[in-house]
Amino acid sequence: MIFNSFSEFLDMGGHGLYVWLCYSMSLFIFVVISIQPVLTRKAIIKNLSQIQRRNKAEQVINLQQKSGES
Amino acid sequence: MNWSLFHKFGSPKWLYIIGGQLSPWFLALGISALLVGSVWGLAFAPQDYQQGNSFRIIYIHVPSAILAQSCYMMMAVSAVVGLVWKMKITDMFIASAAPLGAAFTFIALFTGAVWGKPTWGTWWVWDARLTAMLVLLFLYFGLISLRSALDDIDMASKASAILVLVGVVNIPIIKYSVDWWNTLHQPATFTLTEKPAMPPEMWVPLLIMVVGMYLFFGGLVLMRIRNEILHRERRTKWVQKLIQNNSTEQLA
Repeated sequence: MIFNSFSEFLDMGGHGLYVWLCYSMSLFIFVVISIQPVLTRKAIIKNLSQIQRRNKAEQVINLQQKSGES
Repeated sequence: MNWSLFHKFGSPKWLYIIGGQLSPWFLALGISALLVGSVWGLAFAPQDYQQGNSFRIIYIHVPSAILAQSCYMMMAVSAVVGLVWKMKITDMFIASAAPLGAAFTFIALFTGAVWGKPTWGTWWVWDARLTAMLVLLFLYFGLISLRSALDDIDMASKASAILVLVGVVNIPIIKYSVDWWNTLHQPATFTLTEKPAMPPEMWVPLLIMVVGMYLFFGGLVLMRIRNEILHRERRTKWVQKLIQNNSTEQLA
């Protein structure tokens, strides 16, 4: 490390605010864009499996109704 | 020419499977490279003799600006391929890449402004490089809102491909603006023809950051394309089967 101490590292020769602001903002954006597709995927799968279950239930009801009619 | 690979690449199911296998690797390698590059750049690279330590912002600023532009170029290539060959995949790529491009452009602008304050004495100047970059951000926003405004997928894909191609003029303006006009912005750090003006202790971590940023982008774009595929192919047999297996796994 080229800094003599950790506090010097944080201070960045008086430019600490600028440097750390940039790095923390980028980290924040990276976290957001990393989590977003995971959540989207979960939502899609949940939605599609709900539709699937509903369709299956409807099929069963239709079959029962048909057998009841005959 | 071997067309089988071309057709394979056009098959959503194939891309879904391959993408699922590749994206963790891209993300793992990309995130490690970004970590190594940041630690190196922040703590071990020597300071700049003029700018002191604020130059360390370069390790985020330059890679994200490179990605912002090359993401747009990749979208432009897929727009052409999509318009000519009418492939579904290219539009999925454009839809998936646009929000990421916007994120990288925003990071480039934000870090640029914060870097400008101690270096130029101002957050912002309306010069060619900065303005063209802002236009790029609005192009990305335009694409995202255009897609959400159009429900019909064919319409959305055609309209966004055309918008991408219209916006391509902006890319050479960004690239050459520092050479064409007087500006506060410094010229390119990396060029293909010349050696970097910086010593290796400075540019090697920067190169690691650029590679890491590409890998990170690749991993994220694959994840997003997989989501697009699931959604658009939701009525196909293979997706239905996948969902069924998934829900029985959750029950077990």
